[in-house]
Order: sequence, then C-alpha cells, then structure tokens
Amino acid sequence: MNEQEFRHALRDTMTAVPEPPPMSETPVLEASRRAQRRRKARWAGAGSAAAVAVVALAAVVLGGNSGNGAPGGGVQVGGSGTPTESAGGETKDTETSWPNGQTDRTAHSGPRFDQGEALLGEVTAVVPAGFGAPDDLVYLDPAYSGGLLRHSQAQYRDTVDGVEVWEYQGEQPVTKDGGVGRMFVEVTSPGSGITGDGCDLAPTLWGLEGTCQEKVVDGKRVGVFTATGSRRDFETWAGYRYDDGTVVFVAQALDYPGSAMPALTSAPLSTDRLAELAVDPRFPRD
Amino acid sequence: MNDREQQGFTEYFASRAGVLRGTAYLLCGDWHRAEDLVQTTFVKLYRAWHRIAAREVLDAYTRQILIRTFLDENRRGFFHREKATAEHADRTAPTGGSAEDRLMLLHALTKVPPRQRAALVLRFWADLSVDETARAMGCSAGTVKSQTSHGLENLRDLVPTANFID
Repeated sequence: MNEQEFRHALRDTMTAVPEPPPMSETPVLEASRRAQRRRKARWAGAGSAAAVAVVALAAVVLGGNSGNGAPGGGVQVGGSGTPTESAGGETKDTETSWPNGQTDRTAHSGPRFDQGEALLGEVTAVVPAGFGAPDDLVYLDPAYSGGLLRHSQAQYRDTVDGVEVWEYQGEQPVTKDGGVGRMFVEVTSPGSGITGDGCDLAPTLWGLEGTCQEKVVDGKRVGVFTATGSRRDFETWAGYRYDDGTVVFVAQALDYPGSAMPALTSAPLSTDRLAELAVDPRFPRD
Repeated sequence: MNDREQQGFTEYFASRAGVLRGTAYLLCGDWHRAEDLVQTTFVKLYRAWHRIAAREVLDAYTRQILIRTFLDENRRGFFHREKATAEHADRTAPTGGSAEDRLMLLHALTKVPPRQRAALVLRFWADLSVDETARAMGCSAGTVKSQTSHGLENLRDLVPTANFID
C-alpha cells in the first residue's frame, strides 16, 4: 500500500461509514462557560491568596520587630503567584503529564527556563557590531497576540532511556537603518535522535528545505544551509552535532514577521561566522 | 465573550465540528470518543477565542488543539484504559468484500501508535503538508516523515492482504 492508495482508502472508508447525527453546539457552549467560570474562580482564589500574603507581609514589615521572618515573607509573596500558572485553565490531569510539574511542554520557570534565558543572553552577546540588539521591541501585528520580539524558550521534547531531552531557543531581534531581522539559536540536548554531521545532519532545523555547503571549523564538520523551500523561516542557518549528541543550530533571517517593521537589507552574519558560532562552546545546554 | 464573539464562535462550531469529528474518528476509532475530543477542543478554543485576531489561522489552530489533545490523552493512558472500537452504537456494518476491507483499515489504524496515526490522518485525510503536520503535532518535519513512513509500514503489516482500491 503506497501513500496514494492509503489516501483513496481513507476517503472510501469515510464515505462508507455512517455518521452519527450532527453535534449540537449547546453542550459545547455550556461546557465552555462552565470551564470559564471555574477558571475565573481559580483566578479570584489566587488573587485572594496573594492579597492575604501581601497583607501579612505588610503587617510583618510595619510591625518592625520581627526581622528574622521578613525575608522569608518576601519569598512567600512571590510564591503565591505560582497558582496563576495553573489558573491558565489546564486541567489537573494535563498539569501532571509533563515533567517537573509543568503545565505544558514549556518550562515557564525553574532551571530549564533559566537555561533558555542564559542561551538568549549568549545570542545577544554575539550580535555583530553595527547592528542593534533591542530588548524592548514588541509584536505590533495583532495576529501575533503581543509579546516581546526578544524571547527565549525551553521546552521538553521527550524522554529517551530515562533521560529527558530538552530544546532551548533564543531569538534576538537585530536592527539596522530602521529595519529588523532576527538571530536565532536552538540547542537540543543529547538523545534527540538527530543524526549525521555537516550536510548529513538530519533532520535539519525544523525540517526546513535548503541547499547545504559543508564547512570545517577547527576540524569540526558544520552544515551551512540556505533556504530553498516555500517555508522561509530563516534565510541561512548552520548546524553542528557534538559527540555527545547535543545539536546546535544558529540561524538568521532578514525579517521579523509580526514586527510591522521593514526587513534588513543585509544579513548580520556571514556564512563563515554562522559556522563558527555553530561550534561555539558558549551555546550547548544540558 | 460578548454577544458578537459568541455568535461567531457558534457559527464556527456549526461549520467545522463535522469535519473535525471525522478527523477525530480516524484518530481514535470511536464516534463517541471523537465527539468528546471535539468538545474538549472547542472548550479550549472558547478560552482563546477573543485572542485570535487572524481568522485565517483559525482552522490550523483548532486542528492543532485537537491533535495535541488527542496525543496528550494518549500520553496519560486515557485511551488505553477504555478500549476503542470502530463501531458506533447507531451504525450498521457495511456488507461485501470492500466494506470489510474498509472496516479492517479502520481497526488497523487504531492499532498504529498514536503519533504515527496522527501523522497519517493529517497527511492523508486532512491533506496537510509535512510542515503543516509538523506544526499541528508540535514536532519537526523530519519526525513527521518518519512517523508517516513507520505508520504505513505498520498498516501494511496489520492488513497485508486487503485491497483498498475498488
């Protein structure tokens, strides 16, 4: 059975299988409203808890003679914000299905989150002279739901032989002459299943299509790719796989979708520099 | 959600629930569970409705919720605890050789691992590209290719004699 045969078979099958009556929107709307009410109640609960903690802290501070407990009180107030993560509306079952008590694939705090932030710092540090590296630009296109253009991400990928595999990303907007582009680094920890070296690295960044030129940096094989497919997330990127399986991709793009700003007229990095950065020991993460 | 948003959401449900339920049925092999999946999908969509400014990305976003809900529930073992069947309580089984093949295909599909099944359904039922499938599943395009290939291999092993082409 080839792909085309399977496609036909699925269509034939679904045509032949009798469908139940159409779904009514009423139960869905009722369930949605119930979920929203529960979510608001949780937010209110979290807010009340925070308010109580603030009042308690104020009492300690204003009391003035209980200094041994005050620092802990400050931590407690911050800690009371934690429930707002789970107040995002995910069910308790979903919360427990990710590692480290996360509510989804992304680490929003903790050591993994910190690794992502540290990686972003390294990306910013290698923006070449002559280009700006702003940290306050935001998405202006309403389709992108706001947020900073400069951001990091740490996300759980899988557990292989008992070892968690993580992906860390750092994306830095790069500006020059009123235009904005991007520099991006993605690091995948060992065990991801990415194989090969140089141009044989597979899969390459996000499975993007591109031509590859292999460069050797300090005896290490680096694949330097130029996008060719219809999906142009980046113009060029370089990839290197360490002996332990850590994979580093360094990428750049002339534009920044959602920024509502014009694109750069020239790339910030040469392909040689991309290859150098791919093997730079500042990027790998556990 | 104001009245206008509510109306837009209701209209979107009316126009897309059927298609999504078909996709969900192929994913889980059971109409009741498919309807549960669609309901969960729309409950999650409801929460985000006011934030989705670009209506042209709505279908992709909704499909992504459906797929990730399905995969998450499989991760948690939900589908393992209750055995899925290809039969709906109200349906009558088709008769004849090719109908048997079709049923065999549906049964076989439920035995393919969930991520492979999701890749097969998105690629060959929803007609998504490799990249679109990758985005919906939250994985790389290379993973989609390998999951698709392994999924087809598994199907061949499960139904080696069936002729799916009339």
